[in-house]
Amino acid sequence: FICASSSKKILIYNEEMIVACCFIGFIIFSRKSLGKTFKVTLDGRIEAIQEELQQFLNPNEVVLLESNEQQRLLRISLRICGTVVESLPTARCAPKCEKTVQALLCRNLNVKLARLLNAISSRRIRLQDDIVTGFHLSVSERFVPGSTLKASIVELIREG
Amino acid sequence: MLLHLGFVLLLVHEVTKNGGGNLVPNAWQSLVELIHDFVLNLVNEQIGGLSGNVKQKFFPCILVTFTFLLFCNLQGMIPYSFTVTSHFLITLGLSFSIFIGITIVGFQRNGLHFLSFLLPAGVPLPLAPFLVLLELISYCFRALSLGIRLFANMMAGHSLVKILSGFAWTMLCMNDLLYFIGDLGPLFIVIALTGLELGVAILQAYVFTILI
Repeated sequence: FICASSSKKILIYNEEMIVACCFIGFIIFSRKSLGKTFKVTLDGRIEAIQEELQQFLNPNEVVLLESNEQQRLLRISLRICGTVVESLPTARCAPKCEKTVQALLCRNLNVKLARLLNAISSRRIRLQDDIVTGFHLSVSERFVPGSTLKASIVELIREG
Repeated sequence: MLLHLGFVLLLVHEVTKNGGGNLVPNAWQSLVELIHDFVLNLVNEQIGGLSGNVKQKFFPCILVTFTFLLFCNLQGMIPYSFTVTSHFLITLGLSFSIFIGITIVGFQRNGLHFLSFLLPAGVPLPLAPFLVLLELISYCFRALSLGIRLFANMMAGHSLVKILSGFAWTMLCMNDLLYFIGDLGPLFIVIALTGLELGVAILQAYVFTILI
């Protein structure tokens, strides 16, 4: 490349070539010595942002753990109710009554479980929507004054 | 200048594509975000006595000035290229236009009260006339000093690099072993000066911005 350029008089042999060689030498030297540091700094910044994003989304996991705990307590209370019902004198209550009570308790437990799961998913959706709206407002007021890119911004942040 | 504009627009496009970049940035987006954060901190720290919203109004002007000077200076470091800011006309034109603009905006926003900054607080009254005169001269001279500082730094640095590389080239062309060994000295100095010039390029952009 150098021979071709010099023969076509594109590259002229003068002191500027020394400057160019020294510049290239400096870039190679600084890349060897400082390249890793710079890369580590940038990667550290990216990881910190990723972790912050994860922690922001993690409270939902805490809610899930709490809901699991609540489910466990509900099952225990159902078992207790079951033993209480069993301990009632059978002469007083008909077997149907016992089955009805158990069925009612089971239904209540299932309803509560379903409600909890719905609450978790709706909270997750609401949180996602909040993030989307917040970032949408901040990004659109900084970069895009018009509204043509709003949909694509929203989609991107949903994926993020 | 066109090359410089091309670089800046390419970086800006990298950040603003996909409708505003990614939440978790890549390297180029990180670089632009770092420049943005740096200038934002500069504006917030240096401009005192105003609310956040008012301070943010000055942010675009400062950011554009800093980015323009930074990329002009860095572009000048590339061999065989042209350093825009090593010409007196460019730097003086920039500093004078900024100075005139700031003065006009200052008078528009504050009226004659703008002149109150010529007398700092806590000054004894007998000293006031001399201090006002001194501050006025210093304020007017700021336009000149900003431009000359940038021009002198860029011009001196590049002139030194060219002169030393001229020595190195002459010694290299002597076709003598002794001269070839002696050529290594200027070569190492030119490599070191290239590093220094890079640092000076970034620093001068910062100094110009902070002294506006």
